[in-house]
Amino acid sequence: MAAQAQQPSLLNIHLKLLGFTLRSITPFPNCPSVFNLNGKQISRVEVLGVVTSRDHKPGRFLRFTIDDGTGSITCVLWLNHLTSSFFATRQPATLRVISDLSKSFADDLRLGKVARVRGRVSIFRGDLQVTVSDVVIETDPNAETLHRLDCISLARRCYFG
Amino acid sequence: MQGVKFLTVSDLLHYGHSHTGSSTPGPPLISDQTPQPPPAPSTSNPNRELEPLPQLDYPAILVGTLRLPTLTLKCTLWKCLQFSDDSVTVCCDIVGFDPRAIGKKINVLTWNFIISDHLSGGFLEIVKWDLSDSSHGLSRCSSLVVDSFPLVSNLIECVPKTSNAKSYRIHGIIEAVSPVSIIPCSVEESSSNQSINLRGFQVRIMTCECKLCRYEESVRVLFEATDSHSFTAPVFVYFCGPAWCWHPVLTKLIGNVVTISGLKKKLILMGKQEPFLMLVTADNTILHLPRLLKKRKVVCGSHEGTVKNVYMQGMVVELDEEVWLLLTNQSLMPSHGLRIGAVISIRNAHFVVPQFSWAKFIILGACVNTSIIVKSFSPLKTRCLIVSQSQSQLGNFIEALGFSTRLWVLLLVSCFQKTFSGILSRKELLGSSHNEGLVQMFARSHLHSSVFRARHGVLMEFIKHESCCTATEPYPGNLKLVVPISSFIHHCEIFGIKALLPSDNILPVSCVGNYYQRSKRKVFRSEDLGIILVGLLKISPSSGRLQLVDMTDSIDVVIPDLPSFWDHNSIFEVIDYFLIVEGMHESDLPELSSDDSSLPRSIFQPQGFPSARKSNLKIFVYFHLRNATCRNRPIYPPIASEDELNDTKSGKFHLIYITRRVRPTCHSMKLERSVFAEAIVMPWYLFLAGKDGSTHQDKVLIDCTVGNHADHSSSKRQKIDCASTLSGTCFKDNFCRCGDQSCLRTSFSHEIPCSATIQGVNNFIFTSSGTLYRIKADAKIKVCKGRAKKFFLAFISECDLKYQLLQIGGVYLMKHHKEGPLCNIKNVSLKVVTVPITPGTYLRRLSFSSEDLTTDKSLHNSLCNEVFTKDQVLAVASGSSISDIHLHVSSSLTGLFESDIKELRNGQNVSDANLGRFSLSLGMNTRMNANLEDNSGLLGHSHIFPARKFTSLCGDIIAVHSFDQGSSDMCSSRADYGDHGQYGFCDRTKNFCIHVSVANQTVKIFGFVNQYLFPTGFGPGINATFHQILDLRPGVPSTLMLTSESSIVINSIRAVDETHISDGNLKRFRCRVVAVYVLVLEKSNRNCVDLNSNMQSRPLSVDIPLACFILDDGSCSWCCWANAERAATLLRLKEYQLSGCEASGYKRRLVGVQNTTRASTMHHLERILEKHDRITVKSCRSVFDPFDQDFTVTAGSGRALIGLDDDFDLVASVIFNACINTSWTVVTEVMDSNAVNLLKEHLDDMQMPMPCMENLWAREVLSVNHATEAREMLQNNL
Repeated sequence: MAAQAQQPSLLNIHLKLLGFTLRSITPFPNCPSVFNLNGKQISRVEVLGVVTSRDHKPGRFLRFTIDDGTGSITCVLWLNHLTSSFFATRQPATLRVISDLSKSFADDLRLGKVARVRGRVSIFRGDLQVTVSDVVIETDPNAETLHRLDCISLARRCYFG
Repeated sequence: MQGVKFLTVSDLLHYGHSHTGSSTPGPPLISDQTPQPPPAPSTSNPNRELEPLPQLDYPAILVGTLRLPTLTLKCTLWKCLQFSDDSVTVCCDIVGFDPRAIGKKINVLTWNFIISDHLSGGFLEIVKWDLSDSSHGLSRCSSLVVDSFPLVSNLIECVPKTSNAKSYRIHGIIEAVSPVSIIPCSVEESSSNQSINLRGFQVRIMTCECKLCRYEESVRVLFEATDSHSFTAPVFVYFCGPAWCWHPVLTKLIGNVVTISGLKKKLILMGKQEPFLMLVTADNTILHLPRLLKKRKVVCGSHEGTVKNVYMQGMVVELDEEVWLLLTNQSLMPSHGLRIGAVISIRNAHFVVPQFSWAKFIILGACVNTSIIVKSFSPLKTRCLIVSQSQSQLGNFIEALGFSTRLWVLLLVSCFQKTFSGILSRKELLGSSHNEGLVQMFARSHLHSSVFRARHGVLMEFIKHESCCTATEPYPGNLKLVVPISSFIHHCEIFGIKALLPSDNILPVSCVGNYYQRSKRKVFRSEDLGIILVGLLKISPSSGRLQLVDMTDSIDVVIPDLPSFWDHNSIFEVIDYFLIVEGMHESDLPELSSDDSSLPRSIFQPQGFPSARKSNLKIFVYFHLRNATCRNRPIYPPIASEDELNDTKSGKFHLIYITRRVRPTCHSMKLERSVFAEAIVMPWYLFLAGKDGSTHQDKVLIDCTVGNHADHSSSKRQKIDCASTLSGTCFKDNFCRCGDQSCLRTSFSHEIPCSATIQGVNNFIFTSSGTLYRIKADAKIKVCKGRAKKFFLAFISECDLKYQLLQIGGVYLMKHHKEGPLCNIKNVSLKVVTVPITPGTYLRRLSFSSEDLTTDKSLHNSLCNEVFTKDQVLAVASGSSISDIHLHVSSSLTGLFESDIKELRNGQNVSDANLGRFSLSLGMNTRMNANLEDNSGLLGHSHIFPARKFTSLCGDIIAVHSFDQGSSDMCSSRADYGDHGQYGFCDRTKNFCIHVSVANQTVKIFGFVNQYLFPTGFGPGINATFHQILDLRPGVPSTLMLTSESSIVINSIRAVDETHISDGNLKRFRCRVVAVYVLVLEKSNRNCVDLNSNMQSRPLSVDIPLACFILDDGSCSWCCWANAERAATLLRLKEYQLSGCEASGYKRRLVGVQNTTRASTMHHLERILEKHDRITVKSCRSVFDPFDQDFTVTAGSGRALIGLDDDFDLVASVIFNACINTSWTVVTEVMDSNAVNLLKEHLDDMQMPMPCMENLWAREVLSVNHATEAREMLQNNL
């Protein structure tokens, strides 16, 4: 039997996933930060959709949901970079910049806006959520179409191929 | 007409200068045509500024009579219209011609007069005129008035009588007019037969066969019924006898409807062809023309253009819009008015689009049907076209070819005239009426016999137009252009510079903390260039380099199979070669303009094009001599250097092994003092009998040379040599005269018969039988009176080539002479023994093979086996494969020989290097310089080198850079490596650093040496061996130094483009920036003067020599390296809004900054770079999460910027901002191992590991159009 070509790891890739696909992934046992997608290990995703709800706790976090028409995904954008001990290992100067940027993301994430979000997948209180890394507000409606096509194409070629 | 001076032709001739004159003041009218601008001198001929004709400073009118041509006027054409006053007649041409002006006095209102000694004083170009006699004024023109012109008004020549035969009339359009030709014929007079030359020309008239034309209607009726005619039937009219002088009139009437009456019918017999019925003019022939001439038909195959240049006595005329007119037909003589700047109309020419790879243009081929009329005279002060008729073999040869091939031969003629002026005589080049010259022989050897077509003479070709047609011309696309070397260099410069630009997309090289621009190499194959090189092989007296030379210029060459001697007078034709151009992007690269036909133009131009040679553009050519053809053998018999051959073919030879080459310091461009090579005498002797030696010519040579190439002289020499050579017994007798065989046996450990194949001059191969003797160390007998084991060969300046060809590690033969310097050393106890190498001393490279000798071609075969491999590595020094003498011995010997060499090397303390933590032993050998110190007293610089190690190293050169062109000065580097002044380097030296990849490690070799130490072809992308390089810090790698004693041997040259990027394997993908791994920002030298200019188009005010981005497309991530514009795009420095900067609050902390646009971001970057010179940003955390990045930011001074600095904030903001983007479309190339090595070197310098991802080099970064991309995805079914 011919040796099967080794697939490159998707662990550090930002997978472009539609809402319903993302909602189908499950965490690997004993490793809650790594998820299983069709037998492949994944940890980071990129989603794009309309901001349908937002729960803003200034200085702490912004929890929001984005809906891409196939499912809604809960995202959390941390705003406590300068106060939380979680970021203690980070450079203070970099954190300052990140904190400012995160605040500006929070300002930009208004209801009805189309947001492109990259982040890590995690489980919070049994629910799947995306811990936001960066946010881009898309103004071109074609971006949404292209993202959907990308998700389908990548799923066929790469994630489920 | 008051104040207007009336001039005569005599006045013009007395004036004595070419000029233009007019009856009205002001600028002269050029013609009735729209004045054409003079051709731009820059494109037509850069060496000549064309001036307008000077104008007479007073209004004047020229009065004279316009006449038909006569044979009495001094004119080479015999068919010019004439203009005369009462005493003097000159050739003339006229625009706005009207036949009624013939024989009349006319007033020339505007004219050009061109003085010419070849004509009767000069040539008059009549631009504007009227009839003197107003009663004959042309103002009453009407289409209904028909003028009649008897063609024979005054009998000039005796004409065959046509008796009372029926006369005919034709009405039609003149389609073509043949040139005037002369037919010898005999006329039957009542008394006797008289032989005369019948002068005449033919006219093809498309006639009408309608009722009107068939019946005897009046001529006026014919002209009136313009709509009832259908001109479809071709009729040939022969204008002979006195009517020949109407040739210029008929030529000007092409395309007009005429009626000719009074014609006779004649049955013409031409050769073996069927009889042909033709109309012939007679005494009463009359030409009828409507007064208002109206062109009825655009003659097919016509073209109108401005003359840009005239070459080769008018045989080639360059017109505007890349059209080249060929006027090689000797019977076709265009008007003298065909001058540069004139507008000409060409009718009935052949349009040919040649498929040459070296130029794109249209050829207009003129044949006997072609007529050329000057439509507008040139306002420029240019010479008249004077065409002289001369019969030569070459002329006939050219005429027998198709038009594109014809142009190729004309280019060849022009090229050879330039290339070999002074070397070969005109007769040798062009031949004579009886003999072929070099050009013809050369051309014939490149042309298939099918391209030659039979000629039929003017009459036949005019009637049977298809016979001169080029429709059947074979495809000439394989014809390569032969160019003078000056043109070749000019072409290469244009070609090379275009290929090297834009060169900002080249990875810079980092060295000792600085970034240096690298040179870029491009390799072109000869078949892509479509150019053949022809020249002599010489050593440049200035650079000492081997060059291909002609009378126009010279070009450096690399010839891997160059024998030790060749005929310096041989003209070599090089078809298969590689052109390598190496240059560095500099703002002052010459701006060379070129168009599709600049190459042929440069060949035709007498002076060629000036070369803009720049020191930053290196050009050389690589070829094998075995593929070159010697071209001048029929003219000059091979001058085989007899002394050299005799010295080689027989006798006793010492075998010496070259250990190193020593070149004194301060080697100037010219070798002014001796250079040395250290050699060891091997315990071997070769005896060549030369007895059964036979002479063979190389097959290649036989195939390619032309003429009788039998080399009787060499056979003769061979005979003499055979008679005079020593037998094997004699050789032994020299050792010992006691005659005791046991003495010999005890002296020689081996006696091995062998066969030698000897490379003669110009690919001649000789063979000889011989014996190899290995002498025992304790042998009683002695061959030489006194002999040293080790010695120095001292090369005087005349022997520089011998020195250059000497290869370290090579075994050479030196002839044994009893009283020779090598065999007669008086005091062998001396530490240093020198053997002078003079022009009379011959060193022959020896090679061995253990094959059984079956044919005498083995030497050549061994050479021929080196074909270019697919990976295109051009071998330069390939060990034993290139030699002057090749010995075929039994396999047992080769092992013995190798063990002897190994022993000798060990005797020289050669050992593997141990250079610290790097394992470089693979390609590196180190030798203690103890021996050198012993010997260097001879060389006078024993004090130069401290007790350090000399090393040899072999590896791939990644980059070569000079410290003088780096981004910062060399002070720090100089400090690192000590004061090199103590080593005695002179001011002419330059600071170089060579990055060499050895066993997957990069080694740097510094050099404070004259660049002439570098052999031709040296540069990035080659594999080279460095001999005698100084190990400055033993134990620490990368601190090696080239010294004046060092020598570099190029082993191979990569023929693929040296861009440090793979061979065009482009990847295109849509991705996002995830992280920035490395970023180097530098202060730019460019000043951005206008901040308000377009952001996108403005040049960057910050240099980005290197940046590494982690890109992710949802399926994979890559390490994408970029610089300059591409890096700036990915960093989003080209966008207006810097969200990261704004968000970071950086803006708020800067007082006075109102808006954070790209300009202000750049302004801030500029400001901090002004302060720090350079900023290096290194990622020190994750590269997979945009906001999980931390950075180390270092300033140029080495100081780390910390988080408290505003500058740090800005840099961090720039990087985060790069990650907050949508998508980019990035076009990348996969980087090859060389490039990855280079990057690894960069990262090593930064103490950073190489990311474990595929490395790509960004070629292009484009923003994404979502709609377009989505549409494409849908169309491609996702």
